[in-house]
Amino acid sequence: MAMPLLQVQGLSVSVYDREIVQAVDLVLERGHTHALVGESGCGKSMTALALIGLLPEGGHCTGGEIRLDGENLAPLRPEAWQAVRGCRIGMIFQDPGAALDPLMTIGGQIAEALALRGLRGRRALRNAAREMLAHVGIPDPDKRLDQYAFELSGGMAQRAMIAIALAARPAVLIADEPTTALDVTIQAQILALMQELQAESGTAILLITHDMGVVSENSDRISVMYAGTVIENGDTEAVMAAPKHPYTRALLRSIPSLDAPRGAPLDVIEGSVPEPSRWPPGCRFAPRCTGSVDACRAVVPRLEAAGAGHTVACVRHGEIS
Amino acid sequence: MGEPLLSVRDLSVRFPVRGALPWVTTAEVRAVDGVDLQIEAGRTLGVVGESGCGKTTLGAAILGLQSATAGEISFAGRTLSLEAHAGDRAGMQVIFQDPFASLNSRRTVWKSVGEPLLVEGTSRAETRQRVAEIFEAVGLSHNFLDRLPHEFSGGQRQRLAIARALVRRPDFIVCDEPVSALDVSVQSQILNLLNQLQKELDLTYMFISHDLGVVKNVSDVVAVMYLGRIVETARAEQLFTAPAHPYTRALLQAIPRVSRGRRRAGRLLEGELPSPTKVFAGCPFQPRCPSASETCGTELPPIVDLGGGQSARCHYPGTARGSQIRS
Repeated sequence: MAMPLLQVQGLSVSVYDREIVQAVDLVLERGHTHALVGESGCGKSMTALALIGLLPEGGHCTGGEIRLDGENLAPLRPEAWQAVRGCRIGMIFQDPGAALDPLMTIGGQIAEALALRGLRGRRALRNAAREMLAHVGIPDPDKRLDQYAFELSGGMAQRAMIAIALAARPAVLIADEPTTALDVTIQAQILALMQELQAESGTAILLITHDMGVVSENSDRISVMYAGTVIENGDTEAVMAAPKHPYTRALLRSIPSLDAPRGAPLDVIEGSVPEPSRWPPGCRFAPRCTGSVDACRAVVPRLEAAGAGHTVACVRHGEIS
Repeated sequence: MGEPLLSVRDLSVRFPVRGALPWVTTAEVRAVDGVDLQIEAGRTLGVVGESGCGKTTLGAAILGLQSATAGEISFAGRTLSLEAHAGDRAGMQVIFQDPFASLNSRRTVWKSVGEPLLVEGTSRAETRQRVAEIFEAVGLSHNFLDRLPHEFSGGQRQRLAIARALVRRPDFIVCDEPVSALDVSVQSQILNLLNQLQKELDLTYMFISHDLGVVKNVSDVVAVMYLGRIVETARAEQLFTAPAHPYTRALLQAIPRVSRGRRRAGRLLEGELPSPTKVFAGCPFQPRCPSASETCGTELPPIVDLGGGQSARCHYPGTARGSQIRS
């Protein structure tokens, strides 16, 4: 098998000595979309920030490897990250209003990213920036080049951010909740745009989201996170059709379906996600799991094979699925 | 059919937009534009639409938190004032979206929840007793009475917000995106609770949300809003199986669903919401509508009654012309 584009092994992240992400493995292939899913506080965004060297103050990787084309990025110093960030790994954030520079024109921000690729010359940069804007479906790109972030609607600003992220032609694109701040009709447009651009460029996308519907329609593979660890991996279709981990199963069942009748009681997961400082011993989902036994609280479950390309971290996955 | 508890006729809320000279009105935002709706006692009306469609303003006008410009609101047989804070909304309550912003962080929660009773002059002991009862009804332990809001999770805070809404035994509650800030596993707990309380206490809800799945779970009747107007009203089953307005169809198609699998190339709704100050001669949805005709650009469609409680503001409701975008 060819070497994967991005391979993350045993990645752990701490913020001020508090472990937030523990031993996460991920594999991203060219031209594929891998979804990282979980509820707030599960560590999915922190994982993403580690992959692009943008951990918040006090945060650092305490272990593991991030191999991009074979090169381990985990031990890089902040200056060395500059050569990776934006050029080889791009990122789209949730809130374009907060992520775009308010004092720089949209055209200026795209030109900055284009310069990372080595493009020089005012006219050449401007032309290339205009092309990028047109490419992401922004009407009247000439006018938009000279506008600021506040002059764009949410959907337009998100398109502009995609243009910036893709300007340097990164091999990997990390999209952290790229459509959560948008309305559904605009969300559909943005997701379709990302798929189109991916088909052209072969960029590998790591799609971080809490929305199972978005995952199902837009990813090839999925990793489900709970309390800082990955608890299930598999082909998206297989996981959606037959989730093996009780958490994944409960999560899917708790989504109100358009096909269920009015007032149909929804499955609930009792309690709430534990905070990083209060992770229980053994399986971290055990206190909320309806199928937990003593063994669950005693042993930390490891990811085990549960079908072709499907792994699950549950000691009882064979019995209770 | 029961008597409507709440009835709204031709309600409009307009905001002046001022330019450089603050006393000169340069434009007008029609946040709510000629809305008619009725909610029967004990039922839930779901109001859906994208951001900026006026759903929250509509709720605020009904609650008297926002003055309405024109129209009529009657509730339990009384005609209500269109002015904000008129003091005539007894029997109405509200649950807001963000349980982190809607609770006073420096008061113990029993005081926050029991405040309406304390204001009325109910004794502290009696109020505490009543709050403890409500806590039980919403699934909170009475050990939590003396805690501060920061000690609660998002789901628990939303239970507190529900407790506060219930404490004066209202008939009608406007739920404005009550689960949008919550994770799905917690969201389902709150939705189940709202459904259960409705049955037990015979509550009437107006449930505002952008999430059609959530609305489907709680609503008897659903109204779809676009640019300040209700473009379609129907029984929930009907709306989700046979939507009549092209915008409703586009919305339903745009929602990502687990059951559909990897997306195939589908027809997407193009364009974005126009500026709210724009005044349309014809149908406001016409610029984005995949099946608009010339008439749509010049004439505002009337509300067409399609029978069975379904109505749509469209020149071609549910017809071949209108259903072209169905997948």
